Amino acid sequence: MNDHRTLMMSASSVIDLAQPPLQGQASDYSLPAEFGIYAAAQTQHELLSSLIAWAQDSDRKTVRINGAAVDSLDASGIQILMALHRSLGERGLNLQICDASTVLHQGLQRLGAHRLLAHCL
Amino acid sequence: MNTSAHDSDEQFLRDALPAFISESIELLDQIEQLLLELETSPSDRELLDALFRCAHTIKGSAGLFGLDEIVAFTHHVETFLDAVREEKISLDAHSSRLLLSSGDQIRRLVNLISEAESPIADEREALVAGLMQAMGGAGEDTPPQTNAQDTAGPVAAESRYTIHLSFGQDTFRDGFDPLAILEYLATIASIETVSPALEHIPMLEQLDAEDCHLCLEVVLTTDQDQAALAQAFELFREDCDVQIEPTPQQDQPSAVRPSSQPEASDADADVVTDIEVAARSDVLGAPRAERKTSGERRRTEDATFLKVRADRLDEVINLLGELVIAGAGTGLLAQRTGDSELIESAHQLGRLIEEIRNGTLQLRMVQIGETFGRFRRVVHDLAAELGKEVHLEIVGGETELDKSMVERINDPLMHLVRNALDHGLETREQRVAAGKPEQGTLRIAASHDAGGILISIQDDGRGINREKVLARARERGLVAAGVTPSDVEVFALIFEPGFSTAETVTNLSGRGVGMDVVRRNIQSLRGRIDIHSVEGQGTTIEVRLPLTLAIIDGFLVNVADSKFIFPLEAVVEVVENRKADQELDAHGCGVIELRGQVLPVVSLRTLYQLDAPESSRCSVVVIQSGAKRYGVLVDALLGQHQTVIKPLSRIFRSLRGMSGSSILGNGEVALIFDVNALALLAEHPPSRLLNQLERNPS
Repeated sequence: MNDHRTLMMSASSVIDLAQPPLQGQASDYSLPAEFGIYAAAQTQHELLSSLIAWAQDSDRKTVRINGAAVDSLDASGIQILMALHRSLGERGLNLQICDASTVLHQGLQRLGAHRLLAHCL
Repeated sequence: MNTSAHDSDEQFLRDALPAFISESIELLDQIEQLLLELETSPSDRELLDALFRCAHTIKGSAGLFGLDEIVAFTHHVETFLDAVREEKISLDAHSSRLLLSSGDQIRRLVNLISEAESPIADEREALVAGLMQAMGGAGEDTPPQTNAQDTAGPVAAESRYTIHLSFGQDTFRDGFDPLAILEYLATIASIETVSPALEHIPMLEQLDAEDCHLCLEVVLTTDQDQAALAQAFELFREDCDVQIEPTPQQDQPSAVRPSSQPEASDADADVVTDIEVAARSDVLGAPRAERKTSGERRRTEDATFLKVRADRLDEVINLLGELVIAGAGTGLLAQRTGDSELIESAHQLGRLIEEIRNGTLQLRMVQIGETFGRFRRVVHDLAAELGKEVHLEIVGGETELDKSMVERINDPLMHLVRNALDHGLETREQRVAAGKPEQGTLRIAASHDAGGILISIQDDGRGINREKVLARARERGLVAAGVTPSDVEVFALIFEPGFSTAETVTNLSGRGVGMDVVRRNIQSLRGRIDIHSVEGQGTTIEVRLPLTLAIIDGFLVNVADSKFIFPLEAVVEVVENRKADQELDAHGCGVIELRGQVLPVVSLRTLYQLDAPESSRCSVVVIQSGAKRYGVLVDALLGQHQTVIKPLSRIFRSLRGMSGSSILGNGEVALIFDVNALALLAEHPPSRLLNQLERNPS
């Protein structure tokens, strides 16, 4: 990780890049097919509802988000994932995005957020 | 991109094209106004920046639609304006004329969008040459192309840039997607890294999912120059702070500087190179703080105003008219039942309809200032053409009246302004010889007046030569020998068809064609026009118009079996159930005494030869028409009435003194009086007018 990346992520918990992918495990939440501004508020609401339960689960270390269904997205969707990443980090939890569709993968890559995916691809 | 997505994009652009045309025309109007304002304040930086932004926005939007001609030509204008902003050249009278003509050229290009080939290429080339010559080579460059493939052009050395993008909170709400910007960037540059600043994204609990908190740092290499790179962000300028910094190949990218963080310190500023300063200026168009203010203002305006299609509003107004009529019918039926609760309910309904009516009509009200603003250009160009120095004063531009009225009054007012410039105001030499200041003054003013609007066009020119007008009128048989008409009557002769006292006919006016049309147009709007003039001192033309053409408050009266309506604003007072003992002539004209004053009256029964026996008692409606008052004798006063104005059918258009008709709640038709025309009719009943016409058939 270079200096620049450290600066970029200084305010959030650093993703454990060393952690191997967790294949075959069930996901905790599935992103909608249309993951853009129109679904942003609803997705945020659903994630917030789950966040409390995830935080109360003392055995939990990771939250797995399934992105297989995403067939359209915009930057507001990716922003939600970044916000979730921060909230989970505050609670000592890691975010993993699994089975990302091509659309989601490309979107994250384009916005430079693909590092979130680094350990689950 | 697949075929259906491509078709969908094309469809979107086709659908959006009318909005582009409409907005471009608005921007071109702004350009014209700004240029004229700059003539008096040539060093006003804010005006210059605003001017640049208008041209820049037109170019940027045209690029989106692939309108190459507009992009290429506007680019030259923009380059010229940039040179002015950078004080490489000054905005003198010649430059201003060039820019005004260039604005006209862009307007014509916008109007020609649907045509395959523009017939004005030669003119455009001449203007470009003029702009280049005026710049003397300063800021010379080549016009941009409209898409990435075209922009590639000849192979140039690649440069590396770091771009800091700090998106505004409303980016998503304004329909922009930072992903789309990055996708576009990828078509014109090779993106090395994109780094989002995670620390600026709130935690999920604090996030408003529709707010944008993205700050990105993009490092890329491209063969485009910095200005071309800046073009990619043009459409997002209000929603995104953009900083482009040339970055050495070996350099490490620096951190994102979000908009919330303070600007670089003075020490930092010292190391910013000249190239960077120029680049920021190119990209931002204006200082950062100023841009923010402008963006905030735009957002506030967006929240305050809503654009509505005029035809939809017209539809609502038409339906409202029907609602008013139906409401009146319901009220009438309720009265007949004698059921007090039903009557009260109908009254309540009527009150609500009235409130809706007032509110809805208010939606159509627009400020007349925009129309007045167009005269600035006319005055500017005509004064230059005629070699006259003219100071234009515009007063009361915020006065509101119905949109349809504004559209229809534009041409008559334009004619009056041109007349004032051509005939009213003298040349510099003539003014000096007459002991007047070299510069003439033309004042266009609007104000509310007695429930209507008063527009006056006043010049301090030579005034009207009363004797000359009278002599010409006598020559043409308009005034009989031995008759000495009043000043008002003499000046009104100017509105007679074909009447002109001008010795020379110019391409502006003087043929006597137009003033009669002006009066006819104003009268068709239920308005009136008056002239006041003092020879040697100037002329004032007053145009009085009603506020709206759709629905008015009326006063309903009954004569014989017919119903008539007066505009309520014209009714001064009423005298009910008076003994009908006044003496009237054959045309129904006479006088009565009202509180010790003599009041001229006209009997509708006699004037319109209504078939019904004379009544022993009558009522008088006192009407104010301009400076005059007169009474109208009627059988009964039926009271205030919300009046939906319907045009008179063709066969009734020759009916004198009437401006329209209205349908009453019971289905009866009532005729609406034009109080000004009725006043004339009372003074000059039909037989006298007929005699006059016989003398002067033209």
